[in-house]
Amino acid sequence: MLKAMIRLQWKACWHIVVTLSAAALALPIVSVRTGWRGTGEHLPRFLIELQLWGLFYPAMAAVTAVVLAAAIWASDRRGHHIYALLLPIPRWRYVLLRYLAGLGLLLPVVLALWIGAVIATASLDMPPGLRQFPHSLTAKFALALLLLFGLAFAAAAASRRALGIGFRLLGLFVAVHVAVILLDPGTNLIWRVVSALATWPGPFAPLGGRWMLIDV
Amino acid sequence: MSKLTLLACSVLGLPAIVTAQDASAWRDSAYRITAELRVVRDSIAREESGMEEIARRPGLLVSATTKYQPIAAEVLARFDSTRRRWFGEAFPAAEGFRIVLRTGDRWSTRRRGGGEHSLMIIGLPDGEAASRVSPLVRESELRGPEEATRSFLDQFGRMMMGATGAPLQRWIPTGIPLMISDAARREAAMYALVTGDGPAQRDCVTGVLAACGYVLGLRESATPDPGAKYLPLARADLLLTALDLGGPGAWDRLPDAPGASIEAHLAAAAGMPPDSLLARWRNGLLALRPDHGPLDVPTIAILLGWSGLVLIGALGIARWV
Repeated sequence: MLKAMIRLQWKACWHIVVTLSAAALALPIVSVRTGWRGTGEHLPRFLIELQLWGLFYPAMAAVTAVVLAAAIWASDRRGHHIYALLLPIPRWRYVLLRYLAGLGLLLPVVLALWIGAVIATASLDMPPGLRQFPHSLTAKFALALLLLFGLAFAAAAASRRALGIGFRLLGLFVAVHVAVILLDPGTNLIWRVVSALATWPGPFAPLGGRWMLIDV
Repeated sequence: MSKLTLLACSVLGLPAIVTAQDASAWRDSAYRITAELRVVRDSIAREESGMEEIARRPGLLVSATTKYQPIAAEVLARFDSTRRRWFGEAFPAAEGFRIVLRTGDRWSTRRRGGGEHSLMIIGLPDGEAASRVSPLVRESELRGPEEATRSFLDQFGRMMMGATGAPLQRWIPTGIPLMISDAARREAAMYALVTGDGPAQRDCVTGVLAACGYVLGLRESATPDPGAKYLPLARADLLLTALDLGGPGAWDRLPDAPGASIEAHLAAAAGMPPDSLLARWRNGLLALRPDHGPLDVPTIAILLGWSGLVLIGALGIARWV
């Protein structure tokens, strides 16, 4: 059944996967080629540029996750889940199959990024002291993609009712935040939540670290 | 009035009038500046007299106005500990020193200040010839004990550098970077070492100590085109490494070689041959390079853990309608 699900999703999303894979292949190559000058000239500038290019890796993971998660559930939403209801399997198993098939769609993107990273670093004459991290960077991208895809997938898989409850809770939180700010201007609830999510051990903490293909 | 008379009046009379007006303007300006200076001096004196002594340590005491009294004792403890690490028992002058960090009212009419606040560390005996500074600093520099300690150390480091000979001051024109943390300074120096792209800089990374001596401004190069040298931050890091390696009394040994090269001064402070110092400095910085790439074990654990939780949540909240 998983094979059938993968085939179904591939038919619906192959053009998106190919486009994202091409972008993933190009990202490391372009990031290195635009800054590299011969045998390691202007290294500090090159590394700073590479660090800025590194911002595109989590961004790429986020775009891939959101686009693919939305595409995976698009057919179910269009058909009001009738196809799923016809299947003689419990709901959670159907969702799990969709998720695993979705992971299969992520693989070409990760593979393309790995190939791009290897190509980008293979021909460089690295000066002593600098090291290349094509495999480590790809593994980090894959794990970040796994997390972001999971979040986007959960949001896409949720019913309208669940999404409605989520949005109401969000609105309530913003209202409480405004009330707290008015009573005590020194307390910023939104900032606290964002900080908790973006710092250890929050889920987004790893997205903000260094994404260096080449580093000291 | 004839033209000749008019010309004579212009030549002889006008300069005298203009001079008289200029002199009165200068005099008024001098009176005004004097009055402003008196106000400022009185204000400083009033604030200093409003200070209370908070704590003492051997040879040191700290005083503060009300605002900074809660952090004063901790600032003194931190300052004393770090000062001893780099400079031992040395003071910038035999008669001690006085550092007053002031915040509050600025020399501006555009904003209304809330009065002036001060935090002061005194190195005893605080005699007439003691080194003294009293800068007006940003409030953020005294926000907490850590920031305040760094600000005091920065001023103290400037005083200590001012007490050294001119060659050392020329070698590190920017002073000792005590305002930033040890870790930040070492990381910046490590990046400077590893990413230097001149021929001698690359040789230094690979372990040619003569090249390290050149790029740090300690020796002349034996090669015709050695390229650029390191920034003063790397030199300051070498100085602090020498002081660290030298242990107690390292700063006192720094000027022990009169007329000698900077390299000899540093070697005297570190208590080891110059090449050993350079090798220890280089190896220490190279050891700071991250031992893993962009991905480490905690990151893997976090990403996998949260992914699992999210999947469980997705399976739970999924509904058909």
